[in-house]
Amino acid sequence: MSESNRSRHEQLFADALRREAIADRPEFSESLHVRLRDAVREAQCQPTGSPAALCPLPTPPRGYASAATARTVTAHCPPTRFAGAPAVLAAAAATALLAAIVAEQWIGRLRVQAPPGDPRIADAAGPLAAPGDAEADFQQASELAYQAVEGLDDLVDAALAAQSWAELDEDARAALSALADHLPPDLASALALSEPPEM
Amino acid sequence: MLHFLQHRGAAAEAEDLLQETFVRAFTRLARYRWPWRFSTWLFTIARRVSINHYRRTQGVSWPKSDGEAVRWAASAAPGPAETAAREDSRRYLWARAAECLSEEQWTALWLHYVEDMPTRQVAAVLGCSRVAVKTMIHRARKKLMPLVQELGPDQPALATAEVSHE
Repeated sequence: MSESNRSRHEQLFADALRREAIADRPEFSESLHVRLRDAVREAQCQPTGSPAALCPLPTPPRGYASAATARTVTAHCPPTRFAGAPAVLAAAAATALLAAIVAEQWIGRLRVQAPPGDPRIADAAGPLAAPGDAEADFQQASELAYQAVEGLDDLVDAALAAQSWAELDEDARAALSALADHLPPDLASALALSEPPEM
Repeated sequence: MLHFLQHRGAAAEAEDLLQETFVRAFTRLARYRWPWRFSTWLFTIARRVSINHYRRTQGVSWPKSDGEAVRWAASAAPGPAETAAREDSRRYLWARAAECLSEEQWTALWLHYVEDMPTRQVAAVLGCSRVAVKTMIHRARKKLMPLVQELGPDQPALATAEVSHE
């Protein structure tokens, strides 16, 4: 939440709560860190039928807070962690390019959208301008982009599921984030599905 | 996360709950979905782990209404150490919040102000709407503002401050 959007009263209230919480924050505990690491490692080595589940974890770097243990776990998978990464990245790049082209055309059409009866703007619009088609263009563009995102998402999920490895593959996530960055904000938020994270 | 769990009940059990949270998160990584933040997902797990733990060990259900707020704080059954800690000025506000707020209000307040989580993400953790989260935070602030003023006489009175939109 942006602090600048808060009222002064709310900001004072927030500061008081945060100040007390920070003063009370527990220190990093090496023993707790080791305990969490060992517990996760033991969970990973439980026989689940998946080869990746039997892979032992390397020792994570020291100094990580306990809250970063999960991130550390996923960042230290074996070197051959994801054989399909280049293919996924290539697909992600291609999809991002496609979505960017679609979004750019959509934005371009909206920009030259001429209100009825304004010949000056209509003349400057060029052959791509189509007054009255903005909504249809938007729907078409959003449909294409949505399909592209969904297809990419399915591709990533399938590739990762085949590896039985953490869905937190940072390369794929970075590619998806880059894709979202190329979409208009309202389209990106509309495609960011509203369903809550599953347990 | 440990801090969050410590405030929700006995500090001694917080480490156990933290371990269970991370193990559960690891074994259920396949269920994590982008674009939700990983921290949102992790806090969702942590909250439910702590709720299930206290329901299992103390046989109480977590209240949602303000009228049952005291039961939630009492159900945590702090020991002498925790009681002393809560009387410590460093935990005063949050300890009092646990006594006068419902579990959902307390969680919303913590996630929004301490973890700096947007209301949309808080709503995902609590499994409710953004409007509900804003209402919770607003009501919680109305209840706690007098305490904040106690700690700081120069704090302005809470008149009609509303939860800001993001």
